[in-house]
Amino acid sequence: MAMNEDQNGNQNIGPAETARDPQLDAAYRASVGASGGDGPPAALDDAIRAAARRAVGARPGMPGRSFSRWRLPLSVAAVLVLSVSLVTLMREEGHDRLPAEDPVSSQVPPTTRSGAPAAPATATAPAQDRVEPVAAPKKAAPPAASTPPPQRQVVAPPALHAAGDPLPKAEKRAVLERAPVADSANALTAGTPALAEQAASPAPVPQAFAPSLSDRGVDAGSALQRRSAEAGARDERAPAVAAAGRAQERRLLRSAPPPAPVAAASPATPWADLIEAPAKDWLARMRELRRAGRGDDADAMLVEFRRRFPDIELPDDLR
Amino acid sequence: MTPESPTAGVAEDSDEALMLAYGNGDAAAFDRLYARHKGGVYRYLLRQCRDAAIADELFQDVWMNLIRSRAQYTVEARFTTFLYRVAHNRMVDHWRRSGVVLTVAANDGDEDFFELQPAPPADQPEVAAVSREQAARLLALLDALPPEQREAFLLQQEGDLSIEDIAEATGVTRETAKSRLRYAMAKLRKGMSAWR
Repeated sequence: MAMNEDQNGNQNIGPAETARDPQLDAAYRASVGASGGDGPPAALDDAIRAAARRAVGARPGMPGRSFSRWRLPLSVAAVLVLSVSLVTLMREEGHDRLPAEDPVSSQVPPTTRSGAPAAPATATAPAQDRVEPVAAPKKAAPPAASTPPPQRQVVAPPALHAAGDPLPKAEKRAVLERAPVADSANALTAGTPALAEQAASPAPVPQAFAPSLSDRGVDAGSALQRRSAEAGARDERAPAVAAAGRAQERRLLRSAPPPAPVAAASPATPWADLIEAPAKDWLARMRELRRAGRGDDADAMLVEFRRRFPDIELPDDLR
Repeated sequence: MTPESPTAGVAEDSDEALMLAYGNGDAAAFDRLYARHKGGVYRYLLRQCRDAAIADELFQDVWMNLIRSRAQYTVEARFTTFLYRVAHNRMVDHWRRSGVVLTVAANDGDEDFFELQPAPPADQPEVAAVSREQAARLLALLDALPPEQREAFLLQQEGDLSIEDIAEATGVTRETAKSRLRYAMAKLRKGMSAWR
């Protein structure tokens, strides 16, 4: 029958019954170590000691709390020093690189940038910084290997094709003559594959250009012929420009003064031998023609006479 | 009237002073305290559960509990009483999780207990000193004790606890602790009487 051990009765339990028994104590002490494994493993010892040290923030081999006391201020100081160094370095490098790396500012004309208010980087930048953006487009569109370096001041050819054509004809002519071949070719063939193909193959522009002049009945147009010849020479270097040159020559022909009614030194004219002769010879010849019944030739010679000698009075017999 | 210091009346090198010092952040105090009591606590646990792996786990839990409660420690009793109470509670938790029901018979099976113990060899020469066999015999007798009586004897031997301390550590009355210890010692004396 089971009972609570308190009910066993502690009656008659004297102090001697629970007092330490020397022989039992000795036997138990002898058992310690004899049974083996009477202590915790060394690894467990280390783990518990380490946990105890971590709990109070101490570390082996360190001066206790002094290090943890300085840990936060040291960390903050290190972060501040690194931040200031980085910002300073980035400012120095950014000051040198900003004008060259900014594609927008490189496209802005120098006058606009130099006139911009409150632009410390641009205002304090050296002169070469303002020149550099002009060279920047070279990277985006490298020039052709066989063409000469373009002259930057000429941008007229695209303007000739602009709507409204605001430039006067004289200016157009001057611009066309100043315009380098490569720039014209580049401007005309830019974004036009067909023209680019034409530019790649030579075209017999001078031969096609000459009949167009003769069709109009223009005899000399020597200046125009020289221009067309020059244009032909340019066309040999850049055939695509010939088309543009042709169109321009046509416009020039239209705007040219009307041709002289009589050719100046044609071998068929009756005054061909009198080019350098004085006025009296011209008058004598005209009389001869009238007497010979060649009135038309005499009249034509009279017109030429008046053009060459406008100050000389005509005799009555020739009026 | 000035308030008493927590260490008032506590010897400088006592367990209580060391524990207070550790509660104030002195890691070296813990090392000393641990060195003093690690063997006793470990044997207390090992000779009850009889499994080294389990004893390791329980042992670590006991000391971790001590570390966590360092700031709340006050000198209300002996440090060893406090320490073994923590160990006892951990041991009881282990028994509960293992499904072991601790019951004590009225007579503790004293007759069967002593009949089961092997008799000492007749030709064993008497030695004044405690032999290794005597130690082994005692451990065998200890293993055969009911858990509560074994625990009471172990607390007396390893923790040097008095009956009052044993009662406090195990959460029983003084009379219960006294009874457990009496039965334990009586059985052990009887079993060891052949070597006397």
